[in-house]
Amino acid sequence: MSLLSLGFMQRAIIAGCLVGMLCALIGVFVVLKRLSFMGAGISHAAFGGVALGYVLGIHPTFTAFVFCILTGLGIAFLSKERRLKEDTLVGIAFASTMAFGVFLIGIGKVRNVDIFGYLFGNILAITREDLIFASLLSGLVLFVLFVFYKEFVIVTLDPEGGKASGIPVEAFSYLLVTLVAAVVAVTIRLVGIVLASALLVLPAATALIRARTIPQAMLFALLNGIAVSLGGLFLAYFLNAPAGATIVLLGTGVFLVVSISSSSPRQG
Amino acid sequence: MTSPVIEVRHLSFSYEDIPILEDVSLAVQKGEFVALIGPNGAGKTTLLKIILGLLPVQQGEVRVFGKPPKYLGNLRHRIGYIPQLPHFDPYFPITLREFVLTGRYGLIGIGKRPKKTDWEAVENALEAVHLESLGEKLLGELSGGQRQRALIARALSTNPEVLLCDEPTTAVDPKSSESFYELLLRLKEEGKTILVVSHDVGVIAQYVDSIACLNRTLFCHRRPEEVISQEILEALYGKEVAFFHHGEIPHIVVRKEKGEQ
Repeated sequence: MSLLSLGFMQRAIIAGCLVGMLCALIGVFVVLKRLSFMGAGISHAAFGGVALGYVLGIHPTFTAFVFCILTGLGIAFLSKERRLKEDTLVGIAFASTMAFGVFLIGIGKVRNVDIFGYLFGNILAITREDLIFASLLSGLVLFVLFVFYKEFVIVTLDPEGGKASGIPVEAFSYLLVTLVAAVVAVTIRLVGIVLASALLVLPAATALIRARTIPQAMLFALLNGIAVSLGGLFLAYFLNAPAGATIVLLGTGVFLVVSISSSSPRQG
Repeated sequence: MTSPVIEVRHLSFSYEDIPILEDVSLAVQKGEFVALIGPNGAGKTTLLKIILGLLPVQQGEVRVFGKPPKYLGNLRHRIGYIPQLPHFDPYFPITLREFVLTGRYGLIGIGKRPKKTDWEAVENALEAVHLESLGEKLLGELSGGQRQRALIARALSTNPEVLLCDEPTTAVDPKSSESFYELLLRLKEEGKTILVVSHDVGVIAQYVDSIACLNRTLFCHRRPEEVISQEILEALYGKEVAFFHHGEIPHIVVRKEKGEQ
């Protein structure tokens, strides 16, 4: 039986392409705006959301999505309005949202929860609903990135100058964090909560080593993200290894090769 | 007499109860080239940011083109802002041409794409600073002096009437610094109003029409030759500094060693 005729593999391949594309495109702004650690904090928050979904009987991907967005916006808001350091807030959110998830699963007596799958990814668990959700989100993220491309550039390059020229940079910063949270929520189905932030950062960081402009970085990251996601999936299948970990390790390998072979590393 | 382009009246500003500006009044007339000088921490950048609308007016009144900075609307594009050079990540992946275009982003409008006229304005701005042949170079591939001119080109891309510059010659060599001020002088002769924040009275005094001395409060705003007296500079920078005069111009301001006369 052909590998591609397996239902779970077909779903994993579609998810790999969508997630690889989303992470790559948004990841360029994440790396340039130094939001990598924020991405890690947001992805861990998903665990609290997943647990809440199980306890309330709502689809966990949906609750994880909402939880990720609220955590991202909360961190961005508090660091701006209360002048708290962003890394401190991420450090707190990181642990407390995980603790919230463990607590809920404990007191909710939730059984048959694939915790390991949520933490490290489980391609067998990708459902048709997940794919529909990921497709809709991909369309939305692509649309927002296309329409507000130059606003995201100014928010990343020079928020102060943007504000001086009348662009509502705070609103676009929040929008960027919302997109990051949304992408992370989809990514966790493929590579898991613990590894999602790696997929958000790796293709973009690799692309930015060589890219001369942001559109070029997006294109390089897109090709790299999809290639790494699909390559990792097939490699995992043939090695009988966990897919999420294989994808992330493959991405890290590509990053290392490109950064070592490049004479003048820049953003990576 | 027409009303000033920039008018600051009895402005006070504090940051978490620490007073930064106290009762500052300043007027910049159309076509004037003014230097705002003072030691580090004097509140120069804060004043500039209030004029730009980046910080709120807590007490007093600020008018730019006769309007409060917050309500400038489209008049905002008649101001060009030149921030400090170290403000930018030199490795940001952007070509000089795209970088200059970012100066027009507010004018182009949210969610809209640049048109042919926007790219023409970029080319004109690059020509004005003699960087037209380097449009496809990356920002990080330019020298310090070229990057400085790139910032001016970006500010000029909207063809502004007023230029506000924050410590523009920080982190550039003296030769680039001189050519930078000469370029500003040429722009002033073309009719632009210019306000430059600087801590280096020596270099700037040769180019400007007047110097405003700020150290939390503004205690003088006069012609350069009147400002560069020992008394005023001592009052501004404190007695612990020494001034080395080259003719009329004090070129170096340094802290005296302990015990030195």
